[in-house]
Amino acid sequence: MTYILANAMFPVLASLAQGGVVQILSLMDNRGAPHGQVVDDNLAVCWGVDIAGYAGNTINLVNAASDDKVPPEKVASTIAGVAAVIANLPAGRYRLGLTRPSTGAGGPPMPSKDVFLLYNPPQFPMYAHLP
Amino acid sequence: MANDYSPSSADWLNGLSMWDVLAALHRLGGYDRSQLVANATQTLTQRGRTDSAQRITWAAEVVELGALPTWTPPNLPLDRVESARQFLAAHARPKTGPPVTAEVKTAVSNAIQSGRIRGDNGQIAAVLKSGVYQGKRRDDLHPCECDVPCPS
Repeated sequence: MTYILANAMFPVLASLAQGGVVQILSLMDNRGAPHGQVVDDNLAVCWGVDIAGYAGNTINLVNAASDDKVPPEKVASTIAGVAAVIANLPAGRYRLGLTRPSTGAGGPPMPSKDVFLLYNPPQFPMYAHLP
Repeated sequence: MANDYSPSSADWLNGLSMWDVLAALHRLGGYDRSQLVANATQTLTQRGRTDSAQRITWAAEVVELGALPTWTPPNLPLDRVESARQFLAAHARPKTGPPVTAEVKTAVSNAIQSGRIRGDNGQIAAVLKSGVYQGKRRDDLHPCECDVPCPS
């Protein structure tokens, strides 16, 4: 599949890189996450990026054991990283997909341990099957 | 190759990949492009290389239309059509934001080279080189949508 990187993404990446090292997890998610627009069977436009770390802060709330709390240092690093990303974005309007605690990559969300925002399944059809 | 409409320019153009033919024609102004294409197609046709002449004509239409023409040379391999479609995707960039300035593009390029943008598995570097990157399509993934081999 061929992906175009939206023009609007270039100044975002340039601006973020000025503020710190950007650790990219992925560009448009090939599983259909809302990171872009599928044009046809072989073409898509990438409008988003998953960031795994920024300015020395790891952005990751994955926790191996579902019964445990997410380690405070992980929470602190993630909050600092997200805050730094927001601070270094060029002026504009964005949709932020904020990371959530889980037992592993691609694992189920753990709403009781959410760090950023309240869990709101009706707004996110991909989580509609969850309690 | 602007202002060079000699038979050798036909050979040069015909020797390029589809992507490079399109890139070369894209860089030329309308007059130079039409002259070069007219010369090349005439030269190739006179040599009996009708398929090659049609390929050049078709490529010129791709550039001029900014879209795939309604016709396709009968013997044009499908991967050449795909290459043209990718070229259009990389250069047309419809509705994806304001044009990227050379300054911004250079800044992103420098950030990648200096390690200030990391971990993209070459996707952004590919974008800077050719305007697009390649990735899996949804159908290529395992039904459970994982990227790695998994049971079942």
